Amino acid sequence: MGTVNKSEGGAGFAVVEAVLVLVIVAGVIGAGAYVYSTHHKKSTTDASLTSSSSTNQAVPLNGTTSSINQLTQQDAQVEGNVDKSADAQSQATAASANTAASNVGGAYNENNL
Amino acid sequence: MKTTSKFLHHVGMTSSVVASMLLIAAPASVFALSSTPSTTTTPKTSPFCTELPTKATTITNQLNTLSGKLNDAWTKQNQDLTTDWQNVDQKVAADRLKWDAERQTDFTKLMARAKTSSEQQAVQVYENTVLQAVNTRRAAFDSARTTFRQNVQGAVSTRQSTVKSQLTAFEDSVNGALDKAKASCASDPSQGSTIRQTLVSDLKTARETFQNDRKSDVTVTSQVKQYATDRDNAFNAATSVFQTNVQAARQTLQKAFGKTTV
Repeated sequence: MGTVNKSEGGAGFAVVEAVLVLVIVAGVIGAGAYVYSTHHKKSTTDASLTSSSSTNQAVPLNGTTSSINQLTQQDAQVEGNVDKSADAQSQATAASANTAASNVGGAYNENNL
Repeated sequence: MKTTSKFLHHVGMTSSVVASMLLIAAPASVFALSSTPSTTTTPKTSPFCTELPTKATTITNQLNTLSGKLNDAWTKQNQDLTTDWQNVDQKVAADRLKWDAERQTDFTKLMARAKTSSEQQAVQVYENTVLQAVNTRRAAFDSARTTFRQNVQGAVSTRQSTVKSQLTAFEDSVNGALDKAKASCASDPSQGSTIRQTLVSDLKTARETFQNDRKSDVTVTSQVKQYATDRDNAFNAATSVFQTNVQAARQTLQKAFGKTTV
């Protein structure tokens, strides 16, 4: 009987021990996640408030001078690109009558007279 | 009485002889008259001279048809340029409205962050300065865009005028060569071979002159490229000034707020 009781007591201790380990591990993971989350959010906020005029950085928070800077630069860049994107068409249009002009030169073949 | 009868008989005989001679001589004289021009016989008309009017009409018609198509191409060219630029204008206008709305949203949020009246005033100054910089930048872009389009339109118009002059000269040369050949055929239709050689040579010269002129048609494309580069340089210069002004306004606002993160 004594052996059995000792064995049952050992199993109970093992379960409690396992639960404690799980709790500790979960606590460590939770604390780590919290710290990471807090740090990441802070660094993002700082970047948005202090970002320079570069448009390659993360989108700044709205209502900041960084955001307004970025908007105004995008405004200028996009507008310039609208003109540039139409340049190829303008060049094609400017040369569009060249074929018709060349064709006039083929109005006849004098050797067929 | 007997003498009278003899006289009459003699007269009758003489008249008969004379009449007979006239009958014989008349056709001969007529033949002689009609055969007189045989020394200036109408020359035989060559096949070339016979067919020349038809061939000349074919050439003239074909030239008129192609010339008409060229005029149509010029008309369409001008319309297309206008359409291209209208599309750009519409897109730029729509974009500006969108950016204005987004910027205004940011200004409103920025103003909400101002806690004191001095901060609010500083935000208002900042807002006005940024808007002024945006308007100045846009005016500079509009000016550069207008200059670009005037230059492109000018290059296209100049090219059209140049080709028109070349086309007129070409048509005049062709018509002159055909008229000269027709006149030569009318003068001596038997000389078709020589007249043809001259016409072929004249038409070849006219055609090659016009075709050689076409080599300069491509210059309009390089001109447009250069005008686009000039416009982009003007855009960049305006953007640089704009960024400087906006950055200065930002620093002024940051001072008003007493921090570097506003």
